[in-house]
This record gives sequence, structure tokens and C-alpha cells, in this order.
Amino acid sequence: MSDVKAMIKSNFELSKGLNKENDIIYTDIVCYLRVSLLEEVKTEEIIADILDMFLRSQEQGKAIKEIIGEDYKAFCDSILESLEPKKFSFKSLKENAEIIINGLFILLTIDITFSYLPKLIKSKDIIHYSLNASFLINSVIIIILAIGIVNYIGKNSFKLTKSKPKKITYFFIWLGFSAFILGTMFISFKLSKYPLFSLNIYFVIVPVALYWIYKGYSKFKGVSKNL
Amino acid sequence: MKDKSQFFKGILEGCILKVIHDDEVYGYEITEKLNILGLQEISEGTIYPLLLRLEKNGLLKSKKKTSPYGPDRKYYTLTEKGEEELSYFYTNWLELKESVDKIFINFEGVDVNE
Repeated sequence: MSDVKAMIKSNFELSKGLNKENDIIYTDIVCYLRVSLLEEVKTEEIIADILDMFLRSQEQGKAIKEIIGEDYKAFCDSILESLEPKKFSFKSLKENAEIIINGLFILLTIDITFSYLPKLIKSKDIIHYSLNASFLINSVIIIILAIGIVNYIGKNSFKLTKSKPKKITYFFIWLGFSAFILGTMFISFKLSKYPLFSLNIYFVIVPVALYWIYKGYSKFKGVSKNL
Repeated sequence: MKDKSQFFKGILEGCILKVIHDDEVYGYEITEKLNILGLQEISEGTIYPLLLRLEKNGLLKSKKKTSPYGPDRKYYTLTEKGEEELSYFYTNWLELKESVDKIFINFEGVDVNE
């Protein structure tokens, strides 16, 4: 496990000691800081310091607002301001690349399972994997949405916790989600006949298999380190 | 009033440097010491961003030590640059204090130099 991962884990474990009210505020702060442009290690260090303040205030029976003030966003901003993170950071690039790579492999796996495998079973012979226009367009849409949602939630964590969403908001979320599902289905249906190029299946299966082995291995390593 | 808070921040930074100069301390201890010495409305949330900035500017260095409960704590010490800044602050402070006292001599019938 890398340093950052170990720090995230330790912060998570220690945050279990927070009471419910503090946990809500703490989670908002963590979300807000993690999507900021601060470097990952620095972010986790700061989160650990803040967690220390929370746990101590709890121990002393003080409300956290007595320590960091009532405006939690202003508190976070004062931290970010004093560290003046660069406008462009390697971190945001790396994080988005992570979402893109994970998303791509997951989508590839789904495509292989539901579109390639049935064909393979039908033909009973090794056939080429063809990458469709629909797969590419849907992947781009899904990945952009994923990045957008992660950043939106982080940037607005304080607002989102404070405001209780109205029924109409749920309706629009539901509507948007349905439109998204129908849209991707429509694209799949319309464009699945347009293969962009086809590849020897081994060029696809081997990287995908390696990806899942790596994922499983790092998960297992994380678990065994905890024992 | 932003000017007032900027002015106050500068003084507070000087006080933080002095506390760290006396002893290797962590954030909460600094707050406690300042509270005991009379700056009662100072909370850990106020000084934390200042500590980060002082560290970033190379006036402080920190060392992590394990804490009885919760995450590791950062203990601060002054760097050479920090020590210089502290003397610089104190010289400035004495000058400022002297000037202000002079200006306020006999103000509202109180003689500060008595």
C-alpha cells in the first residue's frame, strides 16, 4: 500500500470514533478537501490534523463549531488559502486518469461479457473482438459523467448536506438517470452495427485479465496488511 | 473588517512563533497557552491555517509523534528563519508599541507611561 492509501485508511479507521453529528461535518470537510487542488499527501495530513481536533473536542465535550467556527467551508478555504495550491496540479490529472482507466476496463469487461461472449458461444470459434462506435461513445459519456459527479459533490459538499432536497429534485435526478439509461441504450442499438476496428481477442482479453488480477491483488494486499 | 483581521493575524503569528520558540508544542498546546495568557477567543481553528502558512514559508518545521488517542500529532519547532522572524517581529512590535503609547499619552486622562 502506498503512503497515501495508508493515510486514507488510518483516517477512515480513526474517524469511526466520531459521533454522528461530527461525522457528518467531518465527511463534508473531507470531501471538500479531497477534490481541492492540494496534493494528496498534504490533503491527508491536513485531514488527520482536523480529525485530531474533532476527536479532542468530543473528548472535552465541546461542539466542533467552538473550535473551527460555524462556517466550515470558510475554515477549509482559510486552510487552502494559506497553502495556495497551484491552479494546475498533477493530482487532478492523476485522479481523473484513474477514473478513466478504471471506467474503461470495467466497461470493456461488460462489453466482452454481454456482447462478445454470446457471439463466441454462437460461432463456436475464436473470433475477433470488434470495437463498436456505440461502445466508444457510451464510454466517453459515462466517464465524463463520473468525473463531473465526483467533482460536483466534492465542491458542493457543505451545501448538499445543509439543504434537504425537495421532491422535485429527486424527480429530476430520476428523470436524468432514466434519460441517461435510455440514451445509452439508444446509442447501443443504433450504432452497434458500426464497428470501428476489430482486434485479435487476445489483445483485449489479456490486458483486461491483468487489470482484474492487479485489482484483486492490491485488494488482497490491503486486507492482509490489516490482519 | 478585513484590515483589522489582517493586522491581528500578523500579531498572532508573532505570538505563535514565541510560544514555539519556548517549547516544542503541537497545535492544541499553542492554543491553550495563548488562551491562558489572555488571548481567550483564539481557537485551534484560527491558528491552524496560520501554522500551515508559517510551515510552508519555512519558519517552522514539524515532527510527527504518536498521540494517546487519535492520529499522529505534529509538533512544531522554529527553523533558523523562524528565529530571525521572531526577533524581527519583536523589534517591530516594540517600536509600534512605543509609537502608539506616545500617541495615546494623556488620552482620556490616562497616562500610559505612569
